[in-house]
Amino acid sequence: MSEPRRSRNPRGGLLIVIGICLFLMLVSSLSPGFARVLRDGIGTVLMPMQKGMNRAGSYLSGRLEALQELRRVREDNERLEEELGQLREENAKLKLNEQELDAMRELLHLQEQYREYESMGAHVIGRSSGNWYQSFLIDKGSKDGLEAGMNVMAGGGLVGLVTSVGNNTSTVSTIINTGRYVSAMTTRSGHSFLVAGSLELYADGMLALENIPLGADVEPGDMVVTSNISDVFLPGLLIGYVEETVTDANRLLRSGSLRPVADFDNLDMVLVITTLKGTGETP
Amino acid sequence: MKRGLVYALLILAVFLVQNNIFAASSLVITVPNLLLILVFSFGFMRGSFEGMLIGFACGLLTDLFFGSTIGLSALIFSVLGYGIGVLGRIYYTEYVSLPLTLCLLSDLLYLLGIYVFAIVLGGGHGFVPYLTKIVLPEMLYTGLMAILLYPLFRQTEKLTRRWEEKNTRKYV
Repeated sequence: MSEPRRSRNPRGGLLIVIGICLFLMLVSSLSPGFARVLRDGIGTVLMPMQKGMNRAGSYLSGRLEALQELRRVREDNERLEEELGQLREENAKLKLNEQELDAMRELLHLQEQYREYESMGAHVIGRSSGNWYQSFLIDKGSKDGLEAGMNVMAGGGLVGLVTSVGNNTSTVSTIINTGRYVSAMTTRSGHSFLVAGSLELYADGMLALENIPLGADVEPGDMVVTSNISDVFLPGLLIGYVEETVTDANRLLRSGSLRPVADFDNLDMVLVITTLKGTGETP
Repeated sequence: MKRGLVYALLILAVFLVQNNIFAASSLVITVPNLLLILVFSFGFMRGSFEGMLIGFACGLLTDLFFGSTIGLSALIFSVLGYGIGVLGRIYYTEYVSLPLTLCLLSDLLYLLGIYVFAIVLGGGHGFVPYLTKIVLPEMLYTGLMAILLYPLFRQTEKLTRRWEEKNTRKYV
């Protein structure tokens, strides 16, 4: 009954399938509601399985890591004790700096804004299959009050943006995606520039800095937060610290790299800020 | 009917393994493109029509969960499945080296396809870093996994055919 190569008309079939794909692309880019319905349907069915698989994977990788860790822990212990001494000394210095920092934060109204944002924890249960788009799936959706455009943090640093929401799951597009720009500024000098995902840098766990004005006071070690200019990211969210800056070849702007606070290598729990830019923040 | 069931289970299993099993471990490491190996294997063994259908299903699933535009991966995957099927008709399916080369080639085509669409949709950037940071590592991993998975899929195909034939014989 089933020969390996059936004599159906495959060329006609191909045209039909291409047609369906193009139709889907057109409709889903024109009406987000349609994509939403499809995603909800498939998401409701697959979500329990995805959660289960994810748990199995976490267990396996946890076991593997435990073995490697024993060896690492011994080396680490030695190194850490050495560091402890240095840190105690630094801590004393930093306490002095903290008072200065508090004064500056107040200046930027960062503290008040942080407190106003309401957030919700979520588990990461899946990642994108391609190595191109860095996005992941979380186990909260519209039932929990999530909406597209909400900002996502992890470990105190900005991770990305909810791009699509299903009933029980949401997809988060990360800021390490190439082509995703975040307007940002330093807390020290307030100069603004762009933070961008970069293929060259993300393998080292870094993001790119672009469009820094030549005369701007941006130094390695500066704290970088999202700026007010962005239309999707709430202002004052911590992104990371400046690693280095260099003057561009055209000598008009500077660029550089930034070490993000969020650990993209190890995302497990994330925090979704349910305050949306443009609705929640009235000072 | 039975074959459809086997395909559905296979696609689901591969999708879950690829996207969920090590999800929490890392976002930055390169992962092999298991779905592509599936599309390639069955396209090569079973011909254009089924390669195309499996490709469409795999692509659609990926799009629904992670894609920004529904239909983009589905399009690339179905065309690839179809193309592999055409090649499968010309070449003998027993040797592994040729399918492997084809699998690597289709991964390359898939990645280039994504790249072209990304430029069309307005997210273009340097080609050389894309080649060295994404294309080459992914091809390497996909190639290694294909060596392991292709025989497995061949076995699945054999079992499926036997299962199908068991029932048809009753009517002869």
